[in-house]
Amino acid sequence: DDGGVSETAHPKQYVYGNLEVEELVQALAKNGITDVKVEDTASGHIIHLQTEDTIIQLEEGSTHIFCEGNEPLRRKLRDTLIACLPSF
Amino acid sequence: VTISGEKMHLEDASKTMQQLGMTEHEIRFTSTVTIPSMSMEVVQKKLKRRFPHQSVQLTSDGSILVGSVLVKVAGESEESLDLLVSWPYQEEDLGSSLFTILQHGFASHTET
Repeated sequence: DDGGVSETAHPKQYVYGNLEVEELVQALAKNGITDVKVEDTASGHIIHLQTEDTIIQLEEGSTHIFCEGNEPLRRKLRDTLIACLPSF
Repeated sequence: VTISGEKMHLEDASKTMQQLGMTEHEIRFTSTVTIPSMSMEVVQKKLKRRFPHQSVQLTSDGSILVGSVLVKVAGESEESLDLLVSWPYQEEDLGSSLFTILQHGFASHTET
């Protein structure tokens, strides 16, 4: 019996507002992620992590992180992003 | 928790943020994982066993919803099935553990 997995229903933090793309790029660099290319889109920006095949899609009110299965990287990006946003 | 006069209320955080004029920043993750070839019905059955307290639904377009975590076929071959797993930050614990189970539990059998 593998007993299933327990989860909590709510995040530890609520994040709100928006962030500047430059701010996130700087925070990524601080965490050792420097190989990035920023593209402007009609609705925001796309940060492309070129060696990792990973994309961060930044729009007003939302951010979408696309990873190719690299879970440690995803968690690092998650924590970097959360730290850039106001939260409670 | 909000306090008005002598009354204290427990409210939904999203609702309170709206009342205070704060816009919630939505964060979503989408990641890919390759598992051995199997039908989505089998994937559903395996996920049901792992997440007995969650609703595990097969949708009309052949995707699976575990809570609000979406598991979608991205591609398939004779030996393997490529899956997209997508979840909001609100479901981080569920999304992350589901992804890891797919990656380690199911995927560990592909190397034979």
